[in-house]
Amino acid sequence: MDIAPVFKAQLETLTGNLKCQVCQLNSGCKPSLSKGADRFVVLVPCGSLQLRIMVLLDQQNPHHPPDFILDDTTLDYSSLSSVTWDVNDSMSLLRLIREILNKLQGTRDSILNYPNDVIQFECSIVRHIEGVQFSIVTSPNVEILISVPLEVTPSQLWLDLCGVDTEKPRLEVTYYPESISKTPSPTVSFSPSIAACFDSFSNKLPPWNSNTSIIEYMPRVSKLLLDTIENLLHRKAVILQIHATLENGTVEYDTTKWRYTSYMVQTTPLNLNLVTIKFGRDFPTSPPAIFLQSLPYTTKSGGPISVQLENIPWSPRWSPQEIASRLRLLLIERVELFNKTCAGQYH
Amino acid sequence: MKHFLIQFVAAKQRLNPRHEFSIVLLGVDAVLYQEFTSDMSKICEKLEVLHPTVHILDCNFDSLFSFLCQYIEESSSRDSSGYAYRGVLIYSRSNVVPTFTDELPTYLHLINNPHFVLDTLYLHSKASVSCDPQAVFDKLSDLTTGYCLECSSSYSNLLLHMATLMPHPQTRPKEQSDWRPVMLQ
Repeated sequence: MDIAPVFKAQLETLTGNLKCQVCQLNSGCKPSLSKGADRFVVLVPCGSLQLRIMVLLDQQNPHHPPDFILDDTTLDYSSLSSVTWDVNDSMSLLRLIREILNKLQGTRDSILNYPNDVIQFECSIVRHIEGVQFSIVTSPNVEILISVPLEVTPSQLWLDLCGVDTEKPRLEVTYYPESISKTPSPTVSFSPSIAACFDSFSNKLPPWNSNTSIIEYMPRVSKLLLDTIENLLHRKAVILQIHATLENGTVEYDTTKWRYTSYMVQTTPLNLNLVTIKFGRDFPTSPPAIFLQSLPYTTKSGGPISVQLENIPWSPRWSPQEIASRLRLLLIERVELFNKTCAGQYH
Repeated sequence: MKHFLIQFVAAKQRLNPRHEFSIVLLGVDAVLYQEFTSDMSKICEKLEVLHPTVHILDCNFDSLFSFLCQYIEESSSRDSSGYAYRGVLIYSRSNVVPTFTDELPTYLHLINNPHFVLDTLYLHSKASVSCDPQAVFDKLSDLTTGYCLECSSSYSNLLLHMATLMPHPQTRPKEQSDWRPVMLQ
Protein backbone atom coordinates (compact mmCIF):
# COMPACT_ATOMS: atom_id res chain seq x y z
CA MET A 1 0.00 0.00 0.00
CA ASP A 2 1.30 3.51 -0.80
CA ILE A 3 1.27 6.34 1.69
CA ALA A 4 -1.81 8.57 1.61
CA PRO A 5 -1.06 11.61 -0.60
CA VAL A 6 -1.51 14.06 2.29
CA PHE A 7 1.47 12.51 4.09
CA LYS A 8 3.70 11.75 1.11
CA ALA A 9 5.96 14.74 1.56
CA GLN A 10 6.43 13.97 5.26
CA LEU A 11 7.50 10.41 4.55
CA GLU A 12 9.84 11.36 1.73
CA THR A 13 11.56 13.91 3.96
CA LEU A 14 11.90 11.36 6.74
CA THR A 15 13.46 8.65 4.58
CA GLY A 16 15.61 11.17 2.74
CA ASN A 17 17.19 12.53 5.91
CA LEU A 18 17.27 9.69 8.39
CA LYS A 19 18.79 6.27 7.98
CA CYS A 20 15.69 4.16 8.46
CA GLN A 21 13.35 1.69 6.87
CA VAL A 22 9.60 2.19 6.56
CA CYS A 23 7.37 -0.86 6.44
CA GLN A 24 3.97 -2.31 7.36
CA LEU A 25 2.06 0.49 5.68
CA ASN A 26 -1.64 0.19 6.29
CA SER A 27 -4.72 2.30 6.74
CA GLY A 28 -6.70 2.98 9.87
CA CYS A 29 -9.72 4.11 7.82
CA LYS A 30 -12.61 2.25 6.33
CA PRO A 31 -11.64 1.00 2.86
CA SER A 32 -14.20 3.27 1.19
CA LEU A 33 -12.64 6.34 2.76
CA SER A 34 -8.99 5.39 2.51
CA LYS A 35 -6.74 6.99 -0.08
CA GLY A 36 -3.63 5.17 1.07
CA ALA A 37 -1.72 4.31 4.22
CA ASP A 38 -1.74 6.52 7.25
CA ARG A 39 -0.02 4.05 9.57
CA PHE A 40 3.42 2.57 9.25
CA VAL A 41 6.44 1.32 11.13
CA VAL A 42 9.78 3.09 11.11
CA LEU A 43 12.81 0.93 11.83
CA VAL A 44 15.89 2.85 12.91
CA PRO A 45 19.24 1.13 13.43
CA CYS A 46 20.72 1.93 16.82
CA GLY A 47 24.07 0.27 17.35
CA SER A 48 23.50 -3.47 17.07
CA LEU A 49 19.79 -3.01 17.65
CA GLN A 50 16.87 -1.77 15.66
CA LEU A 51 14.42 0.63 17.21
CA ARG A 52 10.85 0.13 16.09
CA ILE A 53 8.47 3.07 16.07
CA MET A 54 4.90 2.66 14.90
CA VAL A 55 3.48 5.91 13.56
CA LEU A 56 -0.30 6.45 13.63
CA LEU A 57 -1.58 9.32 11.53
CA ASP A 58 -5.17 9.99 10.49
CA GLN A 59 -5.85 10.83 6.87
CA GLN A 60 -9.39 11.85 7.78
CA ASN A 61 -7.94 14.42 10.17
CA PRO A 62 -4.40 15.10 8.90
CA HIS A 63 -3.94 18.10 11.18
CA HIS A 64 -4.21 15.88 14.23
CA PRO A 65 -0.73 15.13 15.51
CA PRO A 66 0.43 11.52 15.22
CA ASP A 67 0.59 8.91 17.96
CA PHE A 68 3.65 6.76 18.32
CA ILE A 69 3.91 3.25 19.69
CA LEU A 70 7.31 1.94 20.73
CA ASP A 71 6.79 -1.79 21.24
CA ASP A 72 4.18 -1.78 24.01
CA THR A 73 4.57 1.84 25.03
CA THR A 74 2.36 4.51 23.54
CA LEU A 75 4.17 7.81 23.42
CA ASP A 76 1.90 10.77 23.89
CA TYR A 77 2.49 13.61 21.42
CA SER A 78 2.26 16.12 24.23
CA SER A 79 5.46 14.68 25.76
CA LEU A 80 7.32 15.72 22.60
CA SER A 81 6.90 19.31 23.62
CA SER A 82 9.67 20.83 21.56
CA VAL A 83 8.12 19.91 18.18
CA THR A 84 4.94 21.24 16.61
CA TRP A 85 2.99 19.05 14.21
CA ASP A 86 2.16 20.77 10.97
CA VAL A 87 0.97 18.53 8.18
CA ASN A 88 1.95 21.22 5.66
CA ASP A 89 5.54 21.29 6.91
CA SER A 90 7.29 18.30 5.37
CA MET A 91 9.93 18.38 8.14
CA SER A 92 7.43 17.82 11.01
CA LEU A 93 7.54 14.06 11.06
CA LEU A 94 11.33 13.96 10.80
CA ARG A 95 11.66 16.31 13.77
CA LEU A 96 9.24 14.23 15.86
CA ILE A 97 11.04 10.98 15.08
CA ARG A 98 14.39 12.59 15.91
CA GLU A 99 13.07 13.76 19.27
CA ILE A 100 11.79 10.26 20.04
CA LEU A 101 15.18 8.81 19.20
CA ASN A 102 16.87 11.33 21.47
CA LYS A 103 14.56 10.40 24.30
CA LEU A 104 15.12 6.67 23.77
CA GLN A 105 18.87 7.03 23.57
CA GLY A 106 18.82 9.16 26.68
CA THR A 107 16.86 6.50 28.55
CA ARG A 108 19.16 3.69 27.48
CA ASP A 109 22.28 5.62 28.42
CA SER A 110 20.89 6.64 31.79
CA ILE A 111 20.16 3.00 32.62
CA LEU A 112 23.50 1.69 31.42
CA ASN A 113 25.23 4.29 33.58
CA TYR A 114 22.93 3.96 36.58
CA PRO A 115 24.99 4.11 39.78
CA ASN A 116 24.18 0.62 41.02
CA ASP A 117 26.52 -2.37 40.70
CA VAL A 118 23.74 -4.91 40.13
CA ILE A 119 22.05 -2.81 37.44
CA GLN A 120 25.30 -2.12 35.67
CA PHE A 121 26.26 -5.80 35.80
CA GLU A 122 22.89 -7.01 34.52
CA CYS A 123 22.80 -4.44 31.75
CA SER A 124 26.34 -5.13 30.65
CA ILE A 125 25.69 -8.83 30.11
CA VAL A 126 22.45 -8.44 28.18
CA ARG A 127 23.05 -5.23 26.25
CA HIS A 128 24.27 -7.10 23.18
CA ILE A 129 21.34 -9.51 23.02
CA GLU A 130 19.34 -8.75 19.92
CA GLY A 131 16.01 -7.18 20.86
CA VAL A 132 16.89 -6.25 24.46
CA GLN A 133 15.02 -3.21 25.77
CA PHE A 134 15.59 -1.00 28.78
CA SER A 135 13.22 1.38 30.47
CA ILE A 136 13.17 3.35 33.69
CA VAL A 137 10.50 4.77 35.93
CA THR A 138 11.60 7.40 38.38
CA SER A 139 8.44 8.16 40.30
CA PRO A 140 7.41 7.39 42.97
CA ASN A 141 10.50 5.14 43.23
CA VAL A 142 13.11 4.15 40.73
CA GLU A 143 12.28 0.97 38.84
CA ILE A 144 14.39 -0.34 36.00
CA LEU A 145 12.98 -2.81 33.53
CA ILE A 146 15.10 -5.07 31.38
CA SER A 147 13.20 -6.93 28.70
CA VAL A 148 14.76 -9.71 26.63
CA PRO A 149 13.22 -11.99 24.00
CA LEU A 150 13.02 -15.66 24.98
CA GLU A 151 14.07 -18.42 22.66
CA VAL A 152 11.98 -21.55 22.29
CA THR A 153 14.04 -24.50 21.13
CA PRO A 154 13.16 -26.32 18.97
CA SER A 155 11.58 -23.31 17.30
CA GLN A 156 9.24 -25.56 15.33
CA LEU A 157 7.20 -26.02 18.51
CA TRP A 158 6.59 -22.30 18.69
CA LEU A 159 5.65 -22.19 15.03
CA ASP A 160 3.25 -25.12 15.47
CA LEU A 161 1.48 -23.36 18.29
CA CYS A 162 1.57 -19.72 17.28
CA GLY A 163 2.42 -19.41 13.61
CA VAL A 164 5.12 -17.51 11.78
CA ASP A 165 4.00 -13.97 12.45
CA THR A 166 3.76 -14.15 16.24
CA GLU A 167 6.55 -12.47 18.15
CA LYS A 168 8.48 -14.51 20.65
CA PRO A 169 7.64 -13.94 24.33
CA ARG A 170 9.77 -11.63 26.39
CA LEU A 171 11.21 -12.02 29.87
CA GLU A 172 10.77 -8.76 31.71
CA VAL A 173 12.60 -8.21 34.97
CA THR A 174 11.90 -5.17 37.11
CA TYR A 175 14.71 -4.07 39.43
CA TYR A 176 14.28 -1.84 42.47
CA PRO A 177 17.71 -0.32 42.98
CA GLU A 178 16.59 1.94 45.83
CA SER A 179 15.21 -0.92 47.89
CA ILE A 180 17.79 -3.46 49.02
CA SER A 181 15.18 -5.81 50.45
CA LYS A 182 13.02 -5.93 47.35
CA THR A 183 14.11 -8.65 44.98
CA PRO A 184 13.67 -8.15 41.25
CA SER A 185 10.35 -9.35 39.95
CA PRO A 186 10.24 -11.30 36.69
CA THR A 187 7.26 -11.74 34.39
CA VAL A 188 6.83 -13.02 30.87
CA SER A 189 4.86 -11.08 28.30
CA PHE A 190 3.24 -12.56 25.21
CA SER A 191 1.77 -11.15 22.02
CA PRO A 192 -1.92 -10.28 22.47
CA SER A 193 -2.88 -12.92 19.90
CA ILE A 194 -1.60 -15.75 22.12
CA ALA A 195 -1.63 -14.20 25.59
CA ALA A 196 -4.75 -16.16 26.57
CA CYS A 197 -2.85 -19.45 26.09
CA PHE A 198 -0.33 -18.41 28.71
CA ASP A 199 -2.36 -16.24 31.07
CA SER A 200 -1.09 -17.95 34.22
CA PHE A 201 2.45 -18.62 33.00
CA SER A 202 4.11 -15.87 35.03
CA ASN A 203 2.71 -17.43 38.22
CA LYS A 204 4.81 -20.53 37.60
CA LEU A 205 8.17 -18.82 37.12
CA PRO A 206 11.09 -20.06 39.19
CA PRO A 207 11.80 -17.95 42.27
CA TRP A 208 14.30 -15.11 41.90
CA ASN A 209 16.94 -15.39 44.59
CA SER A 210 19.25 -12.71 45.88
CA ASN A 211 22.16 -13.85 43.72
CA THR A 212 20.17 -14.66 40.61
CA SER A 213 21.26 -12.99 37.40
CA ILE A 214 19.03 -12.44 34.39
CA ILE A 215 21.44 -14.24 32.07
CA GLU A 216 21.22 -17.48 34.08
CA TYR A 217 17.49 -17.05 34.72
CA MET A 218 16.62 -16.87 31.04
CA PRO A 219 17.34 -20.52 30.16
CA ARG A 220 15.28 -21.69 33.14
CA VAL A 221 12.31 -19.69 31.93
CA SER A 222 12.87 -20.92 28.38
CA LYS A 223 12.78 -24.49 29.66
CA LEU A 224 9.57 -23.85 31.56
CA LEU A 225 8.07 -22.28 28.47
CA LEU A 226 9.10 -25.25 26.38
CA ASP A 227 7.47 -27.66 28.85
CA THR A 228 4.29 -25.58 28.85
CA ILE A 229 4.13 -25.55 25.08
CA GLU A 230 4.81 -29.29 24.82
CA ASN A 231 2.04 -30.03 27.32
CA LEU A 232 -0.36 -27.75 25.51
CA LEU A 233 0.39 -29.34 22.15
CA HIS A 234 -0.01 -32.78 23.69
CA ARG A 235 -3.44 -31.89 25.06
CA LYS A 236 -4.37 -30.49 21.68
CA ALA A 237 -3.30 -33.71 19.96
CA VAL A 238 -5.32 -35.77 22.42
CA ILE A 239 -8.44 -33.69 21.99
CA LEU A 240 -8.22 -33.74 18.21
CA GLN A 241 -7.72 -37.50 18.29
CA ILE A 242 -10.79 -37.92 20.50
CA HIS A 243 -12.74 -35.85 17.97
CA ALA A 244 -11.56 -38.14 15.21
CA THR A 245 -12.33 -41.32 17.16
CA LEU A 246 -15.81 -40.30 18.23
CA GLU A 247 -16.44 -38.76 14.80
CA ASN A 248 -19.33 -36.57 15.87
CA GLY A 249 -21.30 -35.22 18.78
CA THR A 250 -18.82 -32.50 19.72
CA VAL A 251 -20.43 -29.95 22.01
CA GLU A 252 -17.60 -27.57 22.76
CA TYR A 253 -13.92 -27.59 23.50
CA ASP A 254 -11.19 -25.25 24.63
CA THR A 255 -9.27 -24.00 21.60
CA THR A 256 -6.98 -21.73 23.61
CA LYS A 257 -5.38 -23.86 26.29
CA TRP A 258 -6.95 -27.17 25.21
CA ARG A 259 -8.02 -27.89 28.76
CA TYR A 260 -11.42 -29.47 28.14
CA THR A 261 -13.62 -31.05 25.51
CA SER A 262 -17.18 -32.34 25.59
CA TYR A 263 -19.48 -34.58 23.58
CA MET A 264 -23.11 -35.64 23.43
CA VAL A 265 -23.32 -39.41 23.57
CA GLN A 266 -26.19 -41.89 23.64
CA THR A 267 -26.66 -45.58 24.20
CA THR A 268 -30.29 -45.51 23.05
CA PRO A 269 -32.01 -42.70 21.13
CA LEU A 270 -33.30 -41.04 24.29
CA ASN A 271 -30.50 -41.80 26.71
CA LEU A 272 -28.54 -38.68 25.95
CA ASN A 273 -25.57 -37.80 28.09
CA LEU A 274 -23.09 -34.96 28.07
CA VAL A 275 -19.52 -36.20 28.51
CA THR A 276 -16.96 -33.62 29.66
CA ILE A 277 -13.26 -34.36 29.73
CA LYS A 278 -11.00 -31.97 31.61
CA PHE A 279 -7.22 -32.02 31.52
CA GLY A 280 -5.65 -30.88 34.77
CA ARG A 281 -2.26 -29.31 35.37
CA ASP A 282 -0.72 -32.70 36.11
CA PHE A 283 -1.84 -34.29 32.85
CA PRO A 284 -0.51 -36.64 31.48
CA THR A 285 0.96 -37.84 34.75
CA SER A 286 -2.61 -38.08 36.04
CA PRO A 287 -5.60 -39.00 33.89
CA PRO A 288 -8.11 -36.40 32.76
CA ALA A 289 -11.26 -35.93 34.83
CA ILE A 290 -14.33 -37.32 33.07
CA PHE A 291 -17.84 -36.19 33.94
CA LEU A 292 -21.20 -37.52 32.80
CA GLN A 293 -24.40 -35.50 32.90
CA SER A 294 -27.76 -37.01 32.06
CA LEU A 295 -30.09 -34.97 29.84
CA PRO A 296 -33.37 -36.83 30.35
CA TYR A 297 -33.03 -37.42 34.10
CA THR A 298 -32.98 -34.90 36.93
CA THR A 299 -32.99 -35.03 40.70
CA LYS A 300 -36.30 -34.78 42.54
CA SER A 301 -35.82 -31.04 42.86
CA GLY A 302 -35.25 -30.72 39.11
CA GLY A 303 -31.49 -30.24 39.29
CA PRO A 304 -29.00 -31.87 36.92
CA ILE A 305 -27.48 -35.27 37.62
CA SER A 306 -23.74 -35.36 37.08
CA VAL A 307 -21.05 -37.80 38.17
CA GLN A 308 -17.29 -37.94 37.84
CA LEU A 309 -15.97 -41.28 36.69
CA GLU A 310 -13.59 -42.93 39.12
CA ASN A 311 -10.96 -45.63 38.78
CA ILE A 312 -10.12 -44.73 35.20
CA PRO A 313 -7.50 -47.02 33.67
CA TRP A 314 -4.57 -44.85 32.75
CA SER A 315 -0.95 -44.67 31.62
CA PRO A 316 0.91 -41.42 30.98
CA ARG A 317 2.78 -43.19 28.17
CA TRP A 318 -0.28 -43.73 26.02
CA SER A 319 -0.31 -42.01 22.70
CA PRO A 320 -3.23 -39.74 21.75
CA GLN A 321 -4.60 -42.57 19.60
CA GLU A 322 -4.43 -45.01 22.51
CA ILE A 323 -6.09 -42.51 24.85
CA ALA A 324 -8.95 -41.86 22.43
CA SER A 325 -9.51 -45.54 21.73
CA ARG A 326 -9.56 -46.50 25.40
CA LEU A 327 -11.79 -43.56 26.20
CA ARG A 328 -14.40 -44.79 23.77
CA LEU A 329 -14.37 -48.25 25.35
CA LEU A 330 -14.61 -46.73 28.81
CA LEU A 331 -17.59 -44.64 27.82
CA ILE A 332 -19.40 -47.60 26.29
CA GLU A 333 -19.17 -49.37 29.62
CA ARG A 334 -19.70 -46.53 32.04
CA VAL A 335 -22.41 -44.54 30.26
CA GLU A 336 -24.66 -47.60 30.13
CA LEU A 337 -24.16 -48.11 33.85
CA PHE A 338 -24.82 -44.45 34.57
CA ASN A 339 -28.07 -44.52 32.59
CA LYS A 340 -29.30 -47.57 34.47
CA THR A 341 -28.53 -45.86 37.76
CA CYS A 342 -30.37 -42.74 36.68
CA ALA A 343 -33.39 -44.74 35.50
CA GLY A 344 -33.57 -46.58 38.80
CA GLN A 345 -33.13 -43.64 41.13
CA TYR A 346 -34.18 -40.42 39.48
CA HIS A 347 -36.98 -38.75 37.53
CA MET B 1 -39.36 -26.69 28.86
CA LYS B 2 -38.07 -25.10 32.04
CA HIS B 3 -36.47 -28.40 32.98
CA PHE B 4 -34.60 -28.44 29.72
CA LEU B 5 -33.52 -24.85 29.98
CA ILE B 6 -32.12 -25.45 33.45
CA GLN B 7 -30.34 -28.57 32.19
CA PHE B 8 -28.98 -26.59 29.26
CA VAL B 9 -27.66 -23.77 31.41
CA ALA B 10 -26.20 -26.19 33.98
CA ALA B 11 -24.43 -28.19 31.29
CA LYS B 12 -22.95 -25.15 29.56
CA GLN B 13 -21.83 -23.66 32.88
CA ARG B 14 -20.06 -26.87 33.82
CA LEU B 15 -18.16 -26.81 30.54
CA ASN B 16 -16.89 -23.28 30.96
CA PRO B 17 -17.58 -21.13 34.03
CA ARG B 18 -16.98 -18.02 31.91
CA HIS B 19 -20.18 -18.60 29.97
CA GLU B 20 -22.83 -16.03 30.89
CA PHE B 21 -26.56 -16.18 30.38
CA SER B 22 -29.27 -13.60 30.03
CA ILE B 23 -33.05 -13.86 29.64
CA VAL B 24 -35.04 -11.52 27.42
CA LEU B 25 -38.82 -11.76 27.25
CA LEU B 26 -40.90 -10.72 24.29
CA GLY B 27 -44.45 -9.65 25.07
CA VAL B 28 -45.51 -6.74 22.93
CA ASP B 29 -41.96 -5.38 23.25
CA ALA B 30 -38.71 -6.95 24.33
CA VAL B 31 -37.88 -6.69 28.01
CA LEU B 32 -34.70 -7.65 29.84
CA TYR B 33 -35.69 -10.22 32.47
CA GLN B 34 -32.22 -11.25 33.66
CA GLU B 35 -29.01 -9.49 32.66
CA PHE B 36 -25.88 -11.46 31.77
CA THR B 37 -24.66 -13.53 34.65
CA SER B 38 -22.65 -16.68 35.24
CA ASP B 39 -24.51 -17.29 38.50
CA MET B 40 -26.50 -20.47 37.89
CA SER B 41 -28.75 -19.98 40.88
CA LYS B 42 -29.96 -16.61 39.60
CA ILE B 43 -30.83 -18.04 36.21
CA CYS B 44 -32.60 -21.06 37.68
CA GLU B 45 -34.52 -18.88 40.10
CA LYS B 46 -35.73 -16.64 37.30
CA LEU B 47 -36.66 -19.59 35.11
CA GLU B 48 -38.61 -21.27 37.89
CA VAL B 49 -40.93 -18.32 38.41
CA LEU B 50 -41.39 -17.59 34.72
CA HIS B 51 -44.86 -18.24 33.35
CA PRO B 52 -47.02 -16.76 30.59
CA THR B 53 -49.35 -14.06 31.78
CA VAL B 54 -51.11 -12.91 28.64
CA HIS B 55 -52.21 -14.40 25.38
CA ILE B 56 -50.80 -12.33 22.53
CA LEU B 57 -52.23 -12.75 19.07
CA ASP B 58 -49.44 -11.19 17.06
CA CYS B 59 -45.68 -10.94 17.14
CA ASN B 60 -43.33 -8.38 15.69
CA PHE B 61 -39.64 -8.96 16.21
CA ASP B 62 -38.44 -5.43 15.40
CA SER B 63 -38.28 -4.38 19.04
CA LEU B 64 -36.48 -7.61 19.91
CA PHE B 65 -33.80 -7.03 17.29
CA SER B 66 -33.38 -3.40 18.33
CA PHE B 67 -33.09 -4.45 21.94
CA LEU B 68 -30.60 -7.23 21.21
CA CYS B 69 -28.47 -4.98 19.03
CA GLN B 70 -28.14 -2.36 21.74
CA TYR B 71 -27.77 -4.86 24.57
CA ILE B 72 -24.96 -6.72 22.85
CA GLU B 73 -23.18 -3.51 21.93
CA GLU B 74 -23.32 -2.28 25.53
CA SER B 75 -22.18 -5.61 26.84
CA SER B 76 -19.27 -5.76 24.38
CA SER B 77 -18.10 -2.30 25.29
CA ARG B 78 -18.09 -3.18 29.01
CA ASP B 79 -16.12 -6.37 28.58
CA SER B 80 -13.39 -6.62 25.97
CA SER B 81 -12.72 -10.31 26.63
CA GLY B 82 -14.01 -11.23 23.21
CA TYR B 83 -17.30 -12.94 23.98
CA ALA B 84 -19.39 -14.47 21.22
CA TYR B 85 -23.15 -14.01 21.57
CA ARG B 86 -25.78 -16.56 20.89
CA GLY B 87 -29.52 -16.14 21.14
CA VAL B 88 -31.82 -19.11 21.56
CA LEU B 89 -35.30 -17.93 20.64
CA ILE B 90 -38.00 -20.09 22.15
CA TYR B 91 -41.15 -19.32 20.25
CA SER B 92 -44.43 -20.78 21.39
CA ARG B 93 -47.10 -18.54 19.84
CA SER B 94 -48.22 -21.59 18.03
CA ASN B 95 -50.37 -20.07 15.36
CA VAL B 96 -48.94 -16.59 15.11
CA VAL B 97 -46.79 -15.92 12.08
CA PRO B 98 -44.19 -13.44 13.31
CA THR B 99 -43.32 -10.35 11.37
CA PHE B 100 -40.18 -8.29 11.19
CA THR B 101 -38.65 -5.67 8.95
CA ASP B 102 -35.80 -7.38 7.15
CA GLU B 103 -34.32 -4.03 6.16
CA LEU B 104 -34.32 -2.77 9.73
CA PRO B 105 -30.78 -1.48 10.42
CA THR B 106 -30.60 -3.19 13.80
CA TYR B 107 -31.66 -6.52 12.29
CA LEU B 108 -29.06 -6.19 9.53
CA HIS B 109 -26.43 -5.20 12.07
CA LEU B 110 -27.24 -8.32 14.11
CA ILE B 111 -27.19 -10.83 11.30
CA ASN B 112 -23.98 -9.36 9.92
CA ASN B 113 -22.26 -9.48 13.28
CA PRO B 114 -19.81 -12.40 13.05
CA HIS B 115 -19.98 -12.81 16.83
CA PHE B 116 -23.75 -13.26 16.99
CA VAL B 117 -25.84 -16.33 16.15
CA LEU B 118 -29.58 -16.77 16.53
CA ASP B 119 -31.04 -20.25 16.97
CA THR B 120 -34.76 -20.89 17.19
CA LEU B 121 -36.84 -23.54 18.87
CA TYR B 122 -40.47 -23.39 17.80
CA LEU B 123 -43.01 -25.12 20.07
CA HIS B 124 -46.43 -25.53 18.54
CA SER B 125 -49.68 -27.37 18.52
CA LYS B 126 -50.43 -29.94 15.88
CA ALA B 127 -51.46 -28.65 12.47
CA SER B 128 -55.18 -28.02 12.09
CA VAL B 129 -57.62 -25.80 10.31
CA SER B 130 -56.80 -23.00 12.71
CA CYS B 131 -53.10 -23.71 13.08
CA ASP B 132 -50.54 -23.62 10.29
CA PRO B 133 -47.18 -24.42 11.93
CA GLN B 134 -45.45 -24.62 8.56
CA ALA B 135 -46.09 -20.95 7.80
CA VAL B 136 -44.77 -19.96 11.21
CA PHE B 137 -41.74 -22.18 10.85
CA ASP B 138 -40.94 -20.78 7.42
CA LYS B 139 -40.97 -17.26 8.77
CA LEU B 140 -38.84 -18.20 11.75
CA SER B 141 -36.36 -19.86 9.41
CA ASP B 142 -36.02 -16.58 7.53
CA LEU B 143 -34.84 -14.69 10.58
CA THR B 144 -32.75 -17.45 12.13
CA THR B 145 -29.03 -17.35 11.38
CA GLY B 146 -28.24 -20.63 13.13
CA TYR B 147 -30.31 -23.72 13.73
CA CYS B 148 -34.10 -23.60 13.40
CA LEU B 149 -35.87 -26.45 15.19
CA GLU B 150 -39.52 -27.25 15.75
CA CYS B 151 -41.39 -29.52 18.09
CA SER B 152 -45.05 -30.16 18.82
CA SER B 153 -45.85 -32.42 21.74
CA SER B 154 -43.09 -35.00 21.49
CA TYR B 155 -40.89 -35.24 24.58
CA SER B 156 -38.28 -37.21 22.68
CA ASN B 157 -38.05 -34.57 19.96
CA LEU B 158 -37.69 -31.86 22.56
CA LEU B 159 -34.92 -33.81 24.22
CA LEU B 160 -33.12 -34.28 20.93
CA HIS B 161 -33.50 -30.60 20.11
CA MET B 162 -31.99 -29.57 23.43
CA ALA B 163 -29.07 -31.85 22.69
CA THR B 164 -28.76 -30.31 19.22
CA LEU B 165 -28.68 -26.83 20.71
CA MET B 166 -25.97 -27.76 23.18
CA PRO B 167 -22.94 -27.46 20.84
CA HIS B 168 -21.08 -24.18 20.62
CA PRO B 169 -22.01 -22.32 17.40
CA GLN B 170 -18.34 -21.92 16.53
CA THR B 171 -17.59 -25.64 16.67
CA ARG B 172 -20.80 -27.21 15.37
CA PRO B 173 -21.50 -27.95 11.69
CA LYS B 174 -23.20 -25.21 9.73
CA GLU B 175 -26.03 -27.55 8.78
CA GLN B 176 -27.93 -28.92 11.76
CA SER B 177 -28.46 -32.21 9.99
CA ASP B 178 -24.69 -32.77 10.03
CA TRP B 179 -24.53 -32.89 13.82
CA ARG B 180 -25.66 -35.88 15.82
CA PRO B 181 -24.77 -37.45 19.17
CA VAL B 182 -22.23 -40.24 19.29
CA MET B 183 -23.92 -43.62 19.44
CA LEU B 184 -21.87 -45.72 21.84
CA GLN B 185 -21.91 -49.39 20.90
